[in-house]
Amino acid sequence: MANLLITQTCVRSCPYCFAKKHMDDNDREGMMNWKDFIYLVDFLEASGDRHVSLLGGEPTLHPEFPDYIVYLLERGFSVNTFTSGIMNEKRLRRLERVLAGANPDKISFVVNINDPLKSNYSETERVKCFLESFGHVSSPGYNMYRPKFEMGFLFDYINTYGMRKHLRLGLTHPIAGKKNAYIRLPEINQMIETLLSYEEYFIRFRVKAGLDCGFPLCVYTDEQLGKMYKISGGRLTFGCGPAVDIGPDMMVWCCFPLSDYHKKSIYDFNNMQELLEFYREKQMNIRTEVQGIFEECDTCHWREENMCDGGCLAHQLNNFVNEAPVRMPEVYQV
Amino acid sequence: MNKMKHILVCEDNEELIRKFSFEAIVVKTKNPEHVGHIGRVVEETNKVHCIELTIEDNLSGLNPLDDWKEVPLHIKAPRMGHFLDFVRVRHLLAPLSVRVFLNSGYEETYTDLQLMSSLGINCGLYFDENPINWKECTDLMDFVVYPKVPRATVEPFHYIITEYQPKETINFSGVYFNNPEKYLHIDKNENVALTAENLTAGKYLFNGVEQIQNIAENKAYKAYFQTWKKKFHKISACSACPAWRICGGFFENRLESNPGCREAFSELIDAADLHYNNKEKENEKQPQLCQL
Ligand code: SF4
Ligand code: SF4
Ligand code: SF4
Repeated sequence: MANLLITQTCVRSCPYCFAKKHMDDNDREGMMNWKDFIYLVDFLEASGDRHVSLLGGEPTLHPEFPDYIVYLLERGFSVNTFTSGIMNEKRLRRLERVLAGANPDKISFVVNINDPLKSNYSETERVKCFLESFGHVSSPGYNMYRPKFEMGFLFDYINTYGMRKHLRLGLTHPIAGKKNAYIRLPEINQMIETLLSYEEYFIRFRVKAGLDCGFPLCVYTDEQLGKMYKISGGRLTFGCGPAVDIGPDMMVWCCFPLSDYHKKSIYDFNNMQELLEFYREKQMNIRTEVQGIFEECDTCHWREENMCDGGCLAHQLNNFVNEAPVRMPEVYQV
Repeated sequence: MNKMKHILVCEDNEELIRKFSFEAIVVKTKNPEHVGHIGRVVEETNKVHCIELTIEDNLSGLNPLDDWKEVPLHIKAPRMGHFLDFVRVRHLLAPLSVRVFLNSGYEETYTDLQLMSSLGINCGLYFDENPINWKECTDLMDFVVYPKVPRATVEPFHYIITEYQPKETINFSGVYFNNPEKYLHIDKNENVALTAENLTAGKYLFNGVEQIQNIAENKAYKAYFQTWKKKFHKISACSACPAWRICGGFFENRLESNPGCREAFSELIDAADLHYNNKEKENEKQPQLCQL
């Protein structure tokens, strides 16, 4: 499933923001227009893909956001939107009206929720309004950017707003060439401990954790792995993309942390398969230079057996940003 | 009987329609409520080729009626209107035999046609005195000519691409029921003209529907088919245009005020040529099997 970035601006400025570099380097006013949007929907359909994710920035800021969702539904797609859930009353009511008759199996929102105690009041209130309207088709997303954090509020939200019982957990990664808050490698163990301190909540409220990309396998103890297995509903992966993001300017990249690596035009590809192949090959090439986030990755049998991809490449690539170009060209920004 | 098998194009006038007995006629109306009824009147003595409904409001404000299902329909609307309202209309149009034409003079028309086509509504551009945005027009042509997935047709480009033959000319006015080789226009006084414009300007071929059967001998009619040759007697933009074979000088009268047709249609003829050659190659590849 491809991510279509329909805006490049946001209403928040989260400390870990993975899209920050992309938004800073591009025109914040830039939005995906109808013609390009139709092209991309055709492109996905021709690739046999009928699922799409809408992203930004904040995608709901796009003036045609409700129209784009309806268009996708009319084309037989299912649509997932990554949003902060923060929108003004007028936009929210319009979205509510437009999606009133939509098939709830075909639309979903992943609402990226920050700790209300660390967010401003009006933002939190707007998120609650959104969840009152769309909670039943939303699941929460939470980005872990500190080793210690509070997660209880997410379970409150799930119960209060009848949200889907799936919690998308993102491990924050460095953005090469930009300062953002992310989990340093020595902090991962502490982060896992914090996460698993909520094991009981996951079990009691029957919420399943969905781990995003870049989690390394070896940082867990066997006991932790067992717990993770249970709270994730048996769906544990330790992979690294490609995620495939497509911007309003029709440029494509592998994932946000690598948005400056091997950027291509969508018109360079005939279908998703070609595109994925291209980025898989690039990632493989990079992995011949840097196998993974730890030295142990070089000889790791879990990696050889494709059980773990070796963590998020962005950690290692971040180290090469300012060095002289002595390595293979794939590991440098272009 | 009309031996030439012309299709007669007339206004929404029951008295006039009841006077003919044609194999196919096109009726132009501006009254949405009249579409089904006029279709039935035509069928009493003739056959409906198409009803052309021209509306003043945007397509998205239209309320298609149940009895439209019985007739092939062309709808001419200035604009599509708001997308979300169009979606409602789309569901009502979907079961009909309909083609929707939008005015080429509006900036958004070119994108709206992509939207409509991608959502399965056969559609097209119609041209009037408004300027054409040739850049947008070329994008729309590309959309039609190089589809990534199956879509509904967009005229006149679909017609040009599918009818194209490397050594023949095409007259795409037929898309608008305005090609004199196929259509004749008649008013309520039974004045018959070669084109809609001639009928409006009073340039008639003759008066009286019964004369149509002898049209092959009509001097003005015969002369019309020589006129295009005269265009090559002097050097002009059209006579030197690589796209002449698919355009026939359709945009000649706006060459100065709204230039750009040559570039756009030259791209289209290249695409048509490619399309034709690809089709030929595909046909070649088919093994010939014996008849069973
Ligand atoms: S480099 Fe891999 S793990 Fe890191 S964000 Fe990209 S796809 Fe995910
Ligand atoms: S590949 Fe690297 S990160 Fe993954 S389990 Fe092995 S050593 Fe750990
Ligand atoms: S494209 Fe323009 S210049 Fe060429 S034949 Fe048509 S009207 Fe004439």
